[in-house]
Amino acid sequence: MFTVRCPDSSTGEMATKPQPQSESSIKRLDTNSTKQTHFRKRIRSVWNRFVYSSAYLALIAMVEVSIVTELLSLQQTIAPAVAGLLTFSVYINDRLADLESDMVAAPQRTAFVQRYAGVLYSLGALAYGLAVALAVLGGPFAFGLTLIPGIVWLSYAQEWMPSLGTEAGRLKDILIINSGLVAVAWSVVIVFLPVAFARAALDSSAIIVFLFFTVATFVNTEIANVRDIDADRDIGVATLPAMVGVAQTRWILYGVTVGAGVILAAGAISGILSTSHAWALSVSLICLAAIVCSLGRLDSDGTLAFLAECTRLPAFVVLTIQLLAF
Amino acid sequence: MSVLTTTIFKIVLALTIVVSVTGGLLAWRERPEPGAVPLIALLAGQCWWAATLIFRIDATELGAKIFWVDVSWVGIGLIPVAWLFFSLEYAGYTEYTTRKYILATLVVPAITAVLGVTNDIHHLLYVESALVQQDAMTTLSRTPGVWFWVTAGYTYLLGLLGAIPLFQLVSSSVRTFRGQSVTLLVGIFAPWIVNILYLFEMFPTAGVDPTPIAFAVSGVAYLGALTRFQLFGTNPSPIRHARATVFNRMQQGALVLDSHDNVVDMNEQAASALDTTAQNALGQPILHVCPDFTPWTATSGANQSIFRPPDLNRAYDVSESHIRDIHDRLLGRVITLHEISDLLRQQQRLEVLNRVFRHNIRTNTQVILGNANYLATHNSETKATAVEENALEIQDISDKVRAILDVFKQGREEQTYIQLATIVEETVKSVRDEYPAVETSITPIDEDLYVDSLFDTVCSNVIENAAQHNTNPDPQVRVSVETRQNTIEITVTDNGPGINDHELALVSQGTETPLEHGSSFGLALIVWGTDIAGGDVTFDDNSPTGTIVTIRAPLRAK
Repeated sequence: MFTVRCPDSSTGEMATKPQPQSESSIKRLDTNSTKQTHFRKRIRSVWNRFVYSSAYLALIAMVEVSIVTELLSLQQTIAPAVAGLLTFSVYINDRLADLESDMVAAPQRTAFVQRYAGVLYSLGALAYGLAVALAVLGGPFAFGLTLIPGIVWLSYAQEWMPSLGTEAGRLKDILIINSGLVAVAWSVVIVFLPVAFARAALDSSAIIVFLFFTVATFVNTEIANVRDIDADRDIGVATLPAMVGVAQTRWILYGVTVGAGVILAAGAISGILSTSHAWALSVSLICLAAIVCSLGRLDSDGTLAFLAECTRLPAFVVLTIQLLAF
Repeated sequence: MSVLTTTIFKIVLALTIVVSVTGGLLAWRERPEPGAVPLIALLAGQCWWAATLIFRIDATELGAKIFWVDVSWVGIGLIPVAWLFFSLEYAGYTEYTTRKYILATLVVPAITAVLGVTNDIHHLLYVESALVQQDAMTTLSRTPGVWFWVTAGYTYLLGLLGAIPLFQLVSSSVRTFRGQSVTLLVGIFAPWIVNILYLFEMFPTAGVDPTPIAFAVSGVAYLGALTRFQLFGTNPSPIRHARATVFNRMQQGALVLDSHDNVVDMNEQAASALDTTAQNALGQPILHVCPDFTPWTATSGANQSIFRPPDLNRAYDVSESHIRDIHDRLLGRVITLHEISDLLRQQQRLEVLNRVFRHNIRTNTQVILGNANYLATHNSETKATAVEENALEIQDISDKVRAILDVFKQGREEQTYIQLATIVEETVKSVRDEYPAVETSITPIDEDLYVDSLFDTVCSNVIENAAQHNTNPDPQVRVSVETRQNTIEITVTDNGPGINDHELALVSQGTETPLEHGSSFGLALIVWGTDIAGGDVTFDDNSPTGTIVTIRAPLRAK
């Protein structure tokens, strides 16, 4: 209850007695604020499901494939949908496989995944099935490409290394190999899937774009490893942050990011990539560099990892603007 | 095939791929449940066949179409092999799913794949191949060769072999297993039937094998088995092994005899009871294996139920169950052998204890009654003393029975081990104090020798009895200890009057004559205590008089 001091019209003095609000207006206020709170909660819940289920990564993969389609001047196909389904499936399976180790680094996401494990696993399986079926309609090359993430994930996350006499249990545990494998496998799908669907020839522009995405994805992966540093050290997974620390990782990633810039520049200078395309990709590279700069300096490694995954979105926006403008 | 038909065909094939990949990933999660890996392989084969068929339809040149047919043989060959091993694992026939069997079944598919690639040289798989224009579509027409029919027959054979264990489960009393087996059979029969109809040219598909279409039905069936009927949540694979495990590991011996009394199966316990091995006994008449088994042959009419193998200190309760088929014909018998040696020994001990106890109580009571009658009319100190002595003897009998019961109880509890030197030296010291007239000697005893704690009571009784009942004018008791491998031999030699044969017979065999009854609890305690502690005792006559008692006790760890 608050006091409203109003000047009395006749005396000019401030009225001291509070004017009570009517019951119905109080009820309306309460109802409105309840509705707003409820609405915000629902939005938050939907957002959490979108993020925790890794559906946002599927969306980002679709955006990346769309970027590649534009960069390589390919015809529009269902490649983005296939890439999205593949991404969703592989990440869901990865989350389900690493529930224990992710509990420290991402407790809320892990709790969500654990709660809906059965549904998510079935959705992941169905997504992969759909992706493969759609890829078959795109031809044998596309079909083969959709098998790559699954095969790589199996060799990456399953324990078969001891049978070769190595100490490491999985490829996921080996420094550089783990992030490198993810980067290569991912870029192969992102870049070559639209090429396969469009039945286009593989040219030097595709190679430049593939190299750029590989290097950038490597940086993304190591940024996410900063968030998981404690959990990785506990379970013996060798990542750059776990082995050399955050500060050193930052410098290494500076170098790698510059390497991606060199690839872009080489592509632009040699005329393989158009200047406008190179600029669009540079925007995402600058965003990535800014995130690398923030590593270890902000207390929100999880947010940085999320933002790193979204660094391709600015490039998509720039390309879209370029398309619409020109 | 028209363009529309082709499009529908491809859509259904794509659906097959969706279902197969989804089912395969769901099965992946269930590893290492029996059947999970073969099911993944089966679904992968289906997916491969469907995918290569789509590529073949899309290809326009003869070489490309032939290439996709050749490549599809990898999936075609994998499916029946995976189906067979899935069925074997699922139904519990896992002994047939070893690497050698898998490699053996892959021989024909491997040969087919090689022949497919090299067909132009030998034409064993396809005699001829040509492109055919039909309804604006170019299709591949191939005439099957000899090996095509070989591989087709092989595929159906494996399919049938894999279906047999599932047919058995269709009538299972468990609803889940019935559901699983029916859906799995639908899954395998749907493409099977379509394939047969195609091979006999009953499908107008212009040379395109529609079998992968039916895999869509299979995939849905397998998915149904996985989800609706919890294919890997509960499965019958342990049942077959469980029955064999029960038969092989149960404590009772079990023999299976056919209608001619030949041994057709037995477990290890039965082999041990009959003092033979399964290798020697199987296929032989039971009387050859164990001649003393006469009372339980088919032709005997005996009703005995206890079997005592010769030369073995054991006894078995024998029971018999007839095996009959649905026409009530006697196929054979199952004979079970339940070891009751301990039970019989305990019964014998209780009988002896009962007899000796009753005899002694009767004797003492009669003396008391007789003297009490006299005391009723005469005041006699001698008679009163006799009454008191007999009453004290009854009390002494009670103490000895208690000691024997304690020995039985110790035998049931966890074994404890004590130093033999301590037992013997303390007993000898006690005997010297109580019977100073008896010359008691003892050989040096190694202090590292340990025996079961029951031998404390046994040795004490042997040495004390040797001293107490020694009526020789120059009584002597000598105790010696020798170690032989894992056994300690304790020998107590005295020059007393010796032990009556009937006393020994009563205690060792439970027999007694009507005129001579046993009266010695001490002897019973020695024999039974040694037996319970895992040793044995022998009684020999000393020369010229006396007894040599030799106790053989197992050497225990400290």
